[in-house]
Amino acid sequence: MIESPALRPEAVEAVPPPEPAIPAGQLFAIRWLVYLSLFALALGGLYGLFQALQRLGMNVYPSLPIAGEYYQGLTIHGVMLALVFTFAFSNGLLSLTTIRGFERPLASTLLAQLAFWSILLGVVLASVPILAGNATVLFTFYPPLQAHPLFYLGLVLAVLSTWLTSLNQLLTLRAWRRDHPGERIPLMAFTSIVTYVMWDIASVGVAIEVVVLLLPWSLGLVPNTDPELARTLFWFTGHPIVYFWLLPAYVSWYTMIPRQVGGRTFSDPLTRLVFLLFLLLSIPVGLHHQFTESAVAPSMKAYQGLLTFGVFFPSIVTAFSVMASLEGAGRARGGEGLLGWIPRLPWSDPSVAAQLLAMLVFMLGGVTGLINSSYTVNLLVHNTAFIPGHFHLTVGTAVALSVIGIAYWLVPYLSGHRLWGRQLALVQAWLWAIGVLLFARGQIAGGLTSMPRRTAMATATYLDLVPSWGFDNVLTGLGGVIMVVSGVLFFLVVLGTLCGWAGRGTTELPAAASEVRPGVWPVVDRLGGWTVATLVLIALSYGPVFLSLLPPSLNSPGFRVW
Amino acid sequence: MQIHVYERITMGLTAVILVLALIAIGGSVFIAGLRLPGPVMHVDPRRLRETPPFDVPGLREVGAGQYQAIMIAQTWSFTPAEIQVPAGATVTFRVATADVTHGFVIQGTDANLTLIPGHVAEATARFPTPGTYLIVCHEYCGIGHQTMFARVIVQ
Repeated sequence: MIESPALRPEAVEAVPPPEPAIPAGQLFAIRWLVYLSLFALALGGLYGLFQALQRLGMNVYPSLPIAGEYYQGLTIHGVMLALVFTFAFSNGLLSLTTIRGFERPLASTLLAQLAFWSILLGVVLASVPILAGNATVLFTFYPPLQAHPLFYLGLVLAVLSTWLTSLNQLLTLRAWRRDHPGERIPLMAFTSIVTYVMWDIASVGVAIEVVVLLLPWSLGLVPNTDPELARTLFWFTGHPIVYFWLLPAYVSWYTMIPRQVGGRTFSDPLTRLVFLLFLLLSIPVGLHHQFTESAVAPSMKAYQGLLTFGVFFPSIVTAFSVMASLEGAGRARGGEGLLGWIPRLPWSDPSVAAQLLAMLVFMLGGVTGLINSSYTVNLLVHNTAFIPGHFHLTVGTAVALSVIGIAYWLVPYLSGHRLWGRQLALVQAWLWAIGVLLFARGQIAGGLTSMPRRTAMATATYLDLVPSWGFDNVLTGLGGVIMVVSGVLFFLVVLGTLCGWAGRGTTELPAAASEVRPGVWPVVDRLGGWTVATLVLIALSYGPVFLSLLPPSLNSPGFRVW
Repeated sequence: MQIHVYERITMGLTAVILVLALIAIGGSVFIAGLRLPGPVMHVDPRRLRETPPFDVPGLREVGAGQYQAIMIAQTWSFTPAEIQVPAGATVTFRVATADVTHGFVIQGTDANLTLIPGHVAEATARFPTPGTYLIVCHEYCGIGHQTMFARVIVQ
């Protein structure tokens, strides 16, 4: 159907350049960042199981030896999955893709190692008060809920780890540019670096919130804080963080999956454009998370709501481009007719199957996200169960199931062992997709009838007043349990692979060929200029918001309500 | 660089969908009159209960079928926990929190607020038919969060 150089069968034969040797110290850091992220996935998922069981009427919390309170478990679930799992995996994978893209090691082995040790220390420090019951503040830690200072310090170290990773990427870019004057930045490295530049700017909000407002307050140096200012700083970071979760999956979908399915990246310039749009538009849209807060003027909300529609655009281009890559590959494999290329894709490769399913589920995630950001429609769903319904389709599946799919080549690649349990892995991918659809169906239906999010629904005193919530909870619980069963299969496969049950073997890092066109849109590679443009957009969008909240109204003492 | 013709069609259709959605949202604001919460007044959360009008929480009739409900949210209840109005009443809820951040959503209406310490919030809802309308706290506020609710009884 579609005619493009990327879709001609003969183009598929293009061979990517050879893989560079990676210094042992850098490989160590990457390997353990990935393993740490998988550990966080397991621990966070475990508490997901307890939540799901509670919705099904089985309360296991009293029998837990540690962290046996619902919201304490929910804090573990959120911190481990939304922060540790995602940060550690991004740091590991996008360091590796920087190396692969530039065909040279990272500029600094020390920085790579520091990135690992700082997030590890951060996880340990934050875990102590969480497990001791001194930080049951959920992963959003909205003041005036006040956690133990170690909790905030741990978060600072986790964010620091991402900055160290970014700095290392940028130093590597500088060294590469010195050796390759006038050349285009290789696509895989470009996408990896832009992801982190976006995050560097985005994370300044939460960094100021924690370092300037919350840490001194939790240490008792300042008696009161400003919850609204803190919250606005949080959401300055809190929306773009979803793209920081998502873009590593996009790096895989754009620059790796095409190779895995026997095709090539559809369009090099369009891929760069998509990542640039995410750099520009991810951040100045965070207010749609604060639509129901009276402190912010509706006009500012409307403006940022409009920009949120803009950030929907690169996702649509992605849906097209990634699909076009897949179609080209499916046709090269003999697929014919309108949809005949779909079954020709290598669905028997668990790494591919998991990521294809993640993409399919993400379509629903994108649509529900558009609902959330739609100014007045948001009133129907704001802070209801609809929201976790939405983000388990996005971060919980588009990201998590993609990470799992990536792990199916990455764990063999890092361990030097062959993938064990391919059939199990295939079952795993399908179970996850089925599970999350049931889960989201329950949460979304509940949310549309005002079921609150992040609430121990099984023990809610108003549960009997809304009979329909009983069935919604069953769907949510059942879906959650299926996702956990899927997770158990995943960790069996990881364990079998790490233990070498399928023997030793080398695994390729799938780098898709794409047609780098030196003369096309060279301005896209001017990262400095785009960063300045991003800062200007942010100033226009957030300047009036912060001006209206300054000077801070420090009038809230800390509360420990658990 | 030529963008592929199918890509252009996709982008065009996306733009059309987004514009249609924006028109619909505009309609909800300018025709249906939906409003997002905006600034009402600042209040010191430590002295909320001494600050008018929150020193006397409760329901007041301000016109024919028009009511104002002054409510306080605190861990883990609303004051008052129940209000009664006749069918067809329009109620403006003026709500503030005395401690941590709480939520305020009325089932079956467009009223949806996040109650940040220091900021009074306001939402208006109409109750056309008799019945019980549930008000739920939808922002995590501690271990008793799941017990925090109130009711609007419409007769």
